[in-house]
Amino acid sequence: MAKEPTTPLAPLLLWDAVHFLNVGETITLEEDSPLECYLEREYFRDSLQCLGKTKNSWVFKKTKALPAESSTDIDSWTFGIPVGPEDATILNAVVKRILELDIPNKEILLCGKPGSNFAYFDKVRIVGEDITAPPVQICKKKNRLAQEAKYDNLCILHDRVFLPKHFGEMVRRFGGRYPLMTLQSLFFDNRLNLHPRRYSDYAFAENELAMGIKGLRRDSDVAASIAPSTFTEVGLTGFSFANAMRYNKDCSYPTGSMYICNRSLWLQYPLDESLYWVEYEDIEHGIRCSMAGIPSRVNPYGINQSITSRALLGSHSPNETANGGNVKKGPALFSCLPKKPLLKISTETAISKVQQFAAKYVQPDVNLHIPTGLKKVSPSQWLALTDSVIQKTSFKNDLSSVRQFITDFERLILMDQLPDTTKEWMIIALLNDPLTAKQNFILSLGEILNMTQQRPLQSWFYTNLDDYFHCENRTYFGTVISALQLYFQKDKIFYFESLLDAIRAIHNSTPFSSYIRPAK
Amino acid sequence: MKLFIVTRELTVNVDYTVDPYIARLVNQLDAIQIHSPGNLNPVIMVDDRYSLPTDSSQSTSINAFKFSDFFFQSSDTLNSISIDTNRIYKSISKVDQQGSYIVIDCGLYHISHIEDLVDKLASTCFQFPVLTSNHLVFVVPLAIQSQIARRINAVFNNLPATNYKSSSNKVKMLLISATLKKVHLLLPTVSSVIVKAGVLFRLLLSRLVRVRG
Repeated sequence: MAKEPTTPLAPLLLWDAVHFLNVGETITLEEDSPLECYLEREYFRDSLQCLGKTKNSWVFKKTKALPAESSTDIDSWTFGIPVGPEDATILNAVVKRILELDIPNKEILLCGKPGSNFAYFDKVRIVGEDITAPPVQICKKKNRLAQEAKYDNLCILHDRVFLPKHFGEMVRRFGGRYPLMTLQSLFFDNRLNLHPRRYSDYAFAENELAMGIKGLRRDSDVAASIAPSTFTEVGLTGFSFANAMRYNKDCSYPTGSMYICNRSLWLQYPLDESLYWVEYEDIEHGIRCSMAGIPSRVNPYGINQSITSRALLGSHSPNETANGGNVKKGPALFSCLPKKPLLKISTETAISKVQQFAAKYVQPDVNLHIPTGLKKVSPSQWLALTDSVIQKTSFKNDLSSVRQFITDFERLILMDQLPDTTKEWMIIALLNDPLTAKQNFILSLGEILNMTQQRPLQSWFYTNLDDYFHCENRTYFGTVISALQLYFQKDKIFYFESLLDAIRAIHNSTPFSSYIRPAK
Repeated sequence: MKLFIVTRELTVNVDYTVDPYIARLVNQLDAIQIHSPGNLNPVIMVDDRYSLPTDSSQSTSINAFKFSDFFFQSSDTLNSISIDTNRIYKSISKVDQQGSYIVIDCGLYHISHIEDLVDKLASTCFQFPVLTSNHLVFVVPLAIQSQIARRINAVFNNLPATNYKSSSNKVKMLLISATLKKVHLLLPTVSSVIVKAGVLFRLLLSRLVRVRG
């Protein structure tokens, strides 16, 4: 018997209760007030039969096993990674870590063809090479990984997510009947494991999606909250990092960086393939699953680390505290330590991209000099160069040309994707006053200001992809300091069982430079 | 989208909304060879047309408008002319054949009114890129041809900044504003330290006073 409204964690408890219930047994629920019963949701409908119902009590009988119970072997896992054709140094490290995990049966699937320097072609299975890009069809790729997976336990992760060494121990301890699950994620901006920062793991929508505005989906006649025409509104919804110790019913979702999910459950509730990369596809999926009765939660026995980070995510953003409050956290802007590169791109490639942009938009008779062969470019040099290029561009002043210009600006100058709200603001500015809008294009852009704040002096580009990996001997001190900081912090942004667990979790998930070298 | 600025002939009184003058004009304009880069709408000033062929056998789709088709004159303010964007859209959206020539006879209206029309026409074309498959011909007096051409070029195209100076000052400003923003983020921490120090100081002072007392 369970009393549902006594705790916001009720969906998680009910999930556990019905998944550990034997077929034929009954569960009785009593509510203090007449509310909708969580177990009446779509996911439970085929397996739970309602035997009796009053205004505020329900009796359910389990008639057959639920989809998430299909896996009986917690020691067999499929790891799926959607990949692109770029340099595979970081992917090599991610795969090397998966290969050494304490899991007896594992399969690694890559969706897409990795870069030519990928070192483990003999250890992985490549699927979905027929999926075209651009646009990056990330949902189709992740769904294909689930379809092709050999084992029921599925872990879908991005090619920058470094799993903890004790992943096997963590999942065995949690058990096999998990819903949509993820791990807390950490990012260190330096290679000494100091100044820890939470990075894209588990979040929730602070308001109603798109403030209730609906748009038409790409593939059907259904009006939905997340549709191409509502992306700007969805961006204004407000999203916050969720706390691992709390659950926000029908608002929480694991970000697309990492999913731990049962294969049959995923196939029943796949990602929406009509949405592409950075089109809020993770939010749509998490909330749709939650509405259907599949909550999202965090495996608290370890964390993962992100090897790289998106520059535009380096701003101060809201975090939910353990007591339900809200606190803004962001990168350590006053840190004097040498930092990791801001953009995952080399100086030479960055310069060649600017040249590509200039070739398209700057007339040949305009006097513009773009230096070549530079080994290092300081942020001020980079800003002056890109601003001078932008000021000397010319293009037709109509909506389609302006949209193309902004897309090329993102791809070749900013090297990241702008929020839809910023793009909308840019288009309106270019419509109202083309010249002034262009004068302000780079140096008044909030995203550029944010990048400058993060790296005012140090170059934004890498000289070598090794710059992202940590030297093991130099991290011990930082690991302990960071663990102390995270474990004893007042807001409890991260959950760890004990200080020792915090130290172990950070150490076990740190991408050490030994992972750059392929395993023999 | 080609943009022509044609001068009104001073010696002959020609109504550019009536055939066959207009057909002859458009055929002549259509014959002009333009070698222009693809990322700009070419703006062409046409003053005399003696060098252009006058073959009128070629058929070109033409839509002619008078300046007065686009404005309304309110009864209370007889001297004020207001260009109506909706009227512009309503008129030129009827041109359904791609590659049509839209000829607008600007008459002898004041330059500010003509510029207003140009701006609103550009704004309409910005929002409905399908309209840019047509060509625009503005018939204007010779005296203001250059000024109108400049305006058309500035609103239908996004041009390189001409008065552009080195951006080093602007970059310095950006770096300063980034630092200021950081300081702003630091303020709550600094103020909490100052408040705590103040509390401690008052506590010590009160102790001292009590001990002395």
